Amino acid sequence: MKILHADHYFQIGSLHYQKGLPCQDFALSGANAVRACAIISDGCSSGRHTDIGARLQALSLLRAMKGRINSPLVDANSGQIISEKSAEIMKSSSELLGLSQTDLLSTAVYAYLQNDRAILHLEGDGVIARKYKDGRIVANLYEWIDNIPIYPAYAGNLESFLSAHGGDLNSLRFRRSTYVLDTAGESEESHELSLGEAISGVTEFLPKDEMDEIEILSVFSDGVAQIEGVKWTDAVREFLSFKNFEGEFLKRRMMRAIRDFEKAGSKPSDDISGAVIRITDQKEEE
Amino acid sequence: MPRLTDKSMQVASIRGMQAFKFSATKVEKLGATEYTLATVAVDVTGSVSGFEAELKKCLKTAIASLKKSPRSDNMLVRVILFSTAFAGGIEEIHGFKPLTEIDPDSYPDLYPGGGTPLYDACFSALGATNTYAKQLMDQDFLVNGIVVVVTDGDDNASSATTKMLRKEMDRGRQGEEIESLIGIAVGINAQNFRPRLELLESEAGMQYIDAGDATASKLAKLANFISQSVSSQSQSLGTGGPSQNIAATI
Repeated sequence: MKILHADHYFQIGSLHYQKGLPCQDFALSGANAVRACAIISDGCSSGRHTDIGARLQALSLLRAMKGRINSPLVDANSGQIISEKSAEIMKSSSELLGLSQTDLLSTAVYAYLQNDRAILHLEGDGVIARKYKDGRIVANLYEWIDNIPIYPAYAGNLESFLSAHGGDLNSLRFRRSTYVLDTAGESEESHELSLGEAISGVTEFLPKDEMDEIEILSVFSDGVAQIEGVKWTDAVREFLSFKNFEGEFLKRRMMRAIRDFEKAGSKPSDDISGAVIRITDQKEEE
Repeated sequence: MPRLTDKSMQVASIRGMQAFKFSATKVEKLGATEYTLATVAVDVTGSVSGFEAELKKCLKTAIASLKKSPRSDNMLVRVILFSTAFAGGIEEIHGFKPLTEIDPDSYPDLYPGGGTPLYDACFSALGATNTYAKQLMDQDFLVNGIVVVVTDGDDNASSATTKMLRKEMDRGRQGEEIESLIGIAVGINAQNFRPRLELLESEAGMQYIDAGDATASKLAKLANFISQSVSSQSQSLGTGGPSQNIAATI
């Protein structure tokens, strides 16, 4: 039997702090006996009240996931179902609050696990990372060229977004940098995807046999790639170097790692957020 | 000697004097990101006879009051008694525990007797704080500490020295193993020993406060002082230094 734990953390970056702006990242997580989620959302800096948008986005995703309690097992289509349900919830709540699209521009990055299967999903930018029971880490940083991410709030109205990217669906406008840490050492490679391939986001389905090998599923905002003088791979590796797992284990780890970066003169310039699910066997817990 | 009251506790030795032991919640049982380690050490030597009931009430009130602090979830509290009547001079009522697990109503009655191992009590309090803080800091927790030692007499039975206490206080100032550490000695009915007790300031680097006579009113104020000082130090956690709001008088 598996035991699930989840935790999350977010903090303001130095640029927003210095300008008196709110933190526009938000994170949520939750776990029970059979389901767990880890969600982050990063509000667009050039939007309006995107701190609210990021929170609404994360809460809408959480609500959509909760709504799947009586649904069948997670499968490759679950990401789309959750995204659609989340969009409905976000639309109705933003109407009630009188929010406009510029308030809602925020990314949606999450891991959702149900009955030993999981999906990882990203709309916008950020990092999705897995840590295996044998210590291996596989992390993907997803970035849009010129830092113009797609946001779920566009809700299919992509004219301006496509135009900002030059309008050519075949142009390579989305980059995936993959970092692997294993017994052979570290490696990193980049792969560019076309605008057409990237506009529907990234979804990865993890079947049970792969989940059996995984200890940690994690998501981070692109703030991990904006810690002055620190490679994103080093930041992610540090954030996943847990020393213990009780209570606020990610919050503790990220706060300490960021303090250590700061002592060495490296501050997070952007807001930063992360959320993780930890999966253990009952035997390990005992 | 430490008492292991449940399986969530561990026993550890204090660096520098392995014979000094303390108990504390196992690190893997702690879930918050930061903690203030608070220790209250109470003199139960023969000279406190006559106001031991008020002293116990003071201790219970202080701990009960701490439970109402907005920082209560981020405090681990240890309470010790000292007297040569105890083996090793120190008796732990409980080691570092979350306030939710402490029931001050279960504190035992105090039975005064024996001599005053004051420096040993200070060393036990400061040393255990630093030792446990290092364990927690090594596990990503942010930690500071505060020690309040209540005495009515001068040291007359210790193996620890003021130099050893200074070394423990200095660990707090360096900020590497614990973010900050405040050490306060409070004298009650201790006017005759004031010049000697002030050595805790001049030689050991602690703060000494003469609280005056052991009246019910003064001991009530002492309870409030303990609670306020611990809360204040806890609120300073994360600032990089100790609380600047510890009252200079009681």
